[in-house]
Amino acid sequence: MTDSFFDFDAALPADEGPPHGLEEDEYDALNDETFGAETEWHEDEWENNHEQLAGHSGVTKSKESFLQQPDDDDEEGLVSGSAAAQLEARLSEIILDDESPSKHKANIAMPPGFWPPIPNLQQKQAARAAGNFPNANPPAIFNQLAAMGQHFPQQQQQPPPPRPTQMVTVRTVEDLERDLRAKSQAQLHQQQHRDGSPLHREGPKGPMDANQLIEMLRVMGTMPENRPQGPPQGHPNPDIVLRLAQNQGKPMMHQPPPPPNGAMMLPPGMRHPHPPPGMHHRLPMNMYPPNFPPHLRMRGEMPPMPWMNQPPMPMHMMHQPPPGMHPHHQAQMMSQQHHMMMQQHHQLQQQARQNGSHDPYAGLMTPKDKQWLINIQILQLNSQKPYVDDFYYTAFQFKKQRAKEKAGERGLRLQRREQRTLEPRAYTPAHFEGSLGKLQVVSVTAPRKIIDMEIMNSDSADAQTPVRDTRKVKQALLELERLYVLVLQLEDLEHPLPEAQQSVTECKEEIVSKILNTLIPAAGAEDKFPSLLSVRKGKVLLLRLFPHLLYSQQTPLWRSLLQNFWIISRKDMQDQVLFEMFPAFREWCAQAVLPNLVEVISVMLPQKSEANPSPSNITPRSPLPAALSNKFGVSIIASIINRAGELDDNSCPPKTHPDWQSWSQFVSTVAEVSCELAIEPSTPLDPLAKPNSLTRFVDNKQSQTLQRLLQIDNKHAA
Amino acid sequence: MLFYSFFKSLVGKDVVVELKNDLSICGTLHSVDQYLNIKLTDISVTDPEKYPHMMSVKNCFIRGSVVRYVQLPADEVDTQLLQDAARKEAATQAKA
Repeated sequence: MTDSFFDFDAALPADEGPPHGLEEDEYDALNDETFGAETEWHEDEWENNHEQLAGHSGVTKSKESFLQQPDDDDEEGLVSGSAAAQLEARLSEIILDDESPSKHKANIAMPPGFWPPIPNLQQKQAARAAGNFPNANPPAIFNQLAAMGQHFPQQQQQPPPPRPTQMVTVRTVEDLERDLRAKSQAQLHQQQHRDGSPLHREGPKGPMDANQLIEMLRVMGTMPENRPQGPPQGHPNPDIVLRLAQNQGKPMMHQPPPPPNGAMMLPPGMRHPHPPPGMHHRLPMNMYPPNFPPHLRMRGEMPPMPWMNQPPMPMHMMHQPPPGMHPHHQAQMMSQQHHMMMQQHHQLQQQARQNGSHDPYAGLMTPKDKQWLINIQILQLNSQKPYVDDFYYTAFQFKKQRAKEKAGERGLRLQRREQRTLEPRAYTPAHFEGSLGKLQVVSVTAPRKIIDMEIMNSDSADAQTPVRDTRKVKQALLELERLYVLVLQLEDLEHPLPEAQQSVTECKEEIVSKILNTLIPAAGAEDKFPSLLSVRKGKVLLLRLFPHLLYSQQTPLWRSLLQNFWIISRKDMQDQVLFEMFPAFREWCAQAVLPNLVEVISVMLPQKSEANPSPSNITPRSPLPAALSNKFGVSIIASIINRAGELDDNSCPPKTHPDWQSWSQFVSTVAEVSCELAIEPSTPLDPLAKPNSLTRFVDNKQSQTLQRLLQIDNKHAA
Repeated sequence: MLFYSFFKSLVGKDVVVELKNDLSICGTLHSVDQYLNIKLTDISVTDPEKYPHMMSVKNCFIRGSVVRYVQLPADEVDTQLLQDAARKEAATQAKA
């Protein structure tokens, strides 16, 4: 596993088996030193171990080989005696020679308080965590660890810290990295020390609290500023510091709260992030000491940090991460950018406070950021087919535009009216005149009875029939919805927008035939027409349908309408929608020829209705009385008669046509029925134009009746 | 997209938004988005004494999920078109 992180080849040496000079039997790789009883340390052992190690020859003080065992501890199976120790020391020597010697010398020179002092317990734990590894590099870090707890100047030449000499340390890659960095850091500190910066102080003896840590960071902060050419690797120190401090904090301190896991706490084995080269002149800004008050951090403010002599300025950071940047680097960069923006925010707030206004949420985003976010949202809503996706808005605007074009001809009158309606702006809640006291305020949580209303049930007998009716009505409604979809497709075909036309897949004839199949019963099938037309929706549907139908297709519909006039007119009492159908009928009627009329009126003639047995659900009574009592019906009849008169005048078909007989029959029937009517018949919408035509078919008396009925006034005749 | 489309056609009109916390805000509909979040300008609260903290507020952004009712001007709405839009929406949903 070679990587460019180290200057040397960091590959683990292959397991060579027993070291030189030892036989396979004698050498025990899994010895008790590492795995067995020898891992138990005793309090007073360290002194002995310490002296022995100090007196070890052939190895510089930095290259401690903790491999030498005191003779008294030599037990069976522990083959790694002094020979092995020497060998391993030599091995480590070889490796260490590749590095610059100055690093080793400098490894102890550290400012006081830089490393938190690690008590024995921690050292033991750290040592225990280490495994077997034939590399004496680790001694360096432990040197430093030892130095922490001691006075700085005096300890410079101190022998290595206490460790069980029996231990063969195995270092993981992570530890190696840490050591390397500690070395380079130590080198810098050594230089710092020579400069005489305020480092001649005693290191703290006890566990460090937030202040001490801040001090440490301040020191680190000043250091790179003094040495702008300091190596970029100088900065990973802080995370070691933090980690050590936190490690120390856990077992020792009862301080609340536990240090928050900042960005610097890395899972074991992860590479330490490199700050980008542009960063080297500034402290990594997201470095909050573990005990940094979190509530302050979230608000974006900072306690007065000692190193913040200058007001926080945006850093000269690269906006584009360098190519091939480690994703973890990016995470760190993002957090740094975040910190930078919080500084800006803080700055803006200070300025705002000076001005007098106070908006805690100002300046969090630049206008550019806001616009960027808005654009994202708008992009999501962009659609290629506005007529389909955005139907209501598109159609509404279309209608308004068309209305405007029409209104534009009328001039400014409409516009003025619109402006006037916009003026009452201030909203006033509903106010009731003459109400005693205040209105009750009702909410979901406090419902009140506002209106005193009771439902009067007149008959309890028709309790069952309404149920059946509602079910029928619901079925009718569902059927209507199905038809509506088809009608909408029809309308889309006629729509001026090409997009609307493209949305319909079928052709007009197919759609129309589908609709008519439902409306006009096939032979023997149940006629749904009356139930559909009983509902308001059905009438509106018919209304919208008529413009799309051919003349011949409309005729059977009118016929059916008249046939079921009883039901339809009765149900229409509330809706009054039928009148809106009259113009359509008038239009139809205007084009009617006699056979069509005859077809339509055939349902009105009682004989014919008996001859053609109607389905059971339709009343066998002639619709004529119903038609005559209903204004709409009367209008229909009047128009029919009118048209017939026209046809007669034009003599098409000729007067000898058998249809005229049916017609005369019809007229006389109408006259008779109108005489028999108990109720006063309504007046037609279109009064009869030519009364004279009637005389051909009916006798005078009937004619007069009819004329009275149909409001034929000679004076007003057209 | 039905109601987003619907509210888009009402931009610039006066509406009263009743929230689930019983606060009723009257204002001009400034904008709406796909979540039916509403921005109102020049707002006034229907009962100022009850909500004094709203006195200084001129514009507001209302999250769509807290709206209970939106009271609209009747003449700005085409109910027939709305019915058709609903039918089309249902048809599209049935297809998809």
